[in-house]
Amino acid sequence: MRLFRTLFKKSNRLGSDESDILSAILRITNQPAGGETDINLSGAATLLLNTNEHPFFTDINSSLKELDKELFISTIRTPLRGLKSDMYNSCWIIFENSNNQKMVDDINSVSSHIANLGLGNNMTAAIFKGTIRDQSFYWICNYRTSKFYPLAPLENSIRDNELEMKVGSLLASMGIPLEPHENWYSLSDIPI
Amino acid sequence: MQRNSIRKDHQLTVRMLIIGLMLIMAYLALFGLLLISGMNPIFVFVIGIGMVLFQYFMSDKLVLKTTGAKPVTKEEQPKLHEIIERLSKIGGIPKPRTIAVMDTEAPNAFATGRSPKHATVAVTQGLLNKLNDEELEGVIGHELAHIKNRDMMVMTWASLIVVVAGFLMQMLFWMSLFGGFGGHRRQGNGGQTMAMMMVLYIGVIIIYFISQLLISTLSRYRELAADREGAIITGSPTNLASALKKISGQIAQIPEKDLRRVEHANAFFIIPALQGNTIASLMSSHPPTEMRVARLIEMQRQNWHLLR
Repeated sequence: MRLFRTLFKKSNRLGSDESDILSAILRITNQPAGGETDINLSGAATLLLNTNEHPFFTDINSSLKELDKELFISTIRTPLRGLKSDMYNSCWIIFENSNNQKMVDDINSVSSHIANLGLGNNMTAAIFKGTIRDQSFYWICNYRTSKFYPLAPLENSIRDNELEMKVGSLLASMGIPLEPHENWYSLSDIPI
Repeated sequence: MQRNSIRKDHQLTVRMLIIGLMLIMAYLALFGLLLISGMNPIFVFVIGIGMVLFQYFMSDKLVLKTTGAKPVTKEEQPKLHEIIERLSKIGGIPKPRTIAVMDTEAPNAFATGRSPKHATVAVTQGLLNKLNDEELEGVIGHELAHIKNRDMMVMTWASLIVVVAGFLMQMLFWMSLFGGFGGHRRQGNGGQTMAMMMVLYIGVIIIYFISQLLISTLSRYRELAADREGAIITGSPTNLASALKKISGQIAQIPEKDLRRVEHANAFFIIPALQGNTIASLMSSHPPTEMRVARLIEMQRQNWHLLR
């Protein structure tokens, strides 16, 4: 049974546990403003895919339009946008919504739909734009490990490791599953 | 004598001697190889020594330039100056000429300069921010120990062989591209010269890698010796141990690689043991932090009656 689950999970990574993982973000950000933690989302997120040869990625924008129609997810938000870029052949699906709950729901439904297309392994991470007090950072949810880590890029691919450590320890103290430091990989050219 | 001074780490001294002997053997091998293949070893080594001398005399200025460390006056950093001045006195070396601060958050420090009289000590702003006074003393003690042990000189001269072998490797490579090995070939003897050059090329590559290995080993031993000497200067091995733990436990572990790159390298997430493997640790210039911390704590335990 366990073997079956592992195999199944491998081929179709985004199970129900992952959607619960993303909701962990809401648990923290829904706290009253000005509280001790004061972590927030800034209304934008992106799903990072690596584009192996698959029809879905040849015309990402029309695929997303289809997806939009098919899922007819929430009404008050901009339609899904996707863009392809860079040397890694990455594709970013962009979500914008000032309602955190809705944004997380959208990402979950899009993710599980993409997983149903057999592209579960192509999803690398979900990235949320966030702030802590006045500083901005990214929350990365690594889809391979279902764990979070903070990323605070400064210019020239330098990172604010100190802020990351601060956010990281805060997230961990609030029970968010956190990647160990050695897996806090960088991500360049995040489009949000 | 034994009773009121901290024992020398004889094992470490012996190990350094062995590495030193092996380095000498590598030098002799290179020398012999050059003789056999008909190249003038003196000529090659003179070029190598020239390169090393340049490095030797310019190092302090070069390092300051490349790391962006800014010299600071006593007024700007009174605490840093005070610690360095006091510990230099205890260690019996002159106060380093230049004391500099790098404006980076990653906690780090280095010492350089060809002799105690021409020494430079630099620390990062991150180090000053993160460490308390005792830990800062521990790190400074370690850097001053490098100066006292003349590690800059030892390592520069030890790495002469790597410089020479590396230079030869490049030269032979380009010679093989342009006009073939041997230059003006003696008549009827071309094949033999060619074979000779091939042997030389392979020999030089082997010597290059072996000496690189020896030098990184020597460097790790010098680090351990500086840990020990530094702890004698500050009188407290645990100061440095605590600083090392603080520094390495955090920032050093955060990778710079892109998530997508690792993802393509696959397997990583399943077997997360790619780092700290043996090849990397053989080639690294510093011993693993856990080992350094363990040795310092052991030193504290053994000499508790002599240390504060």
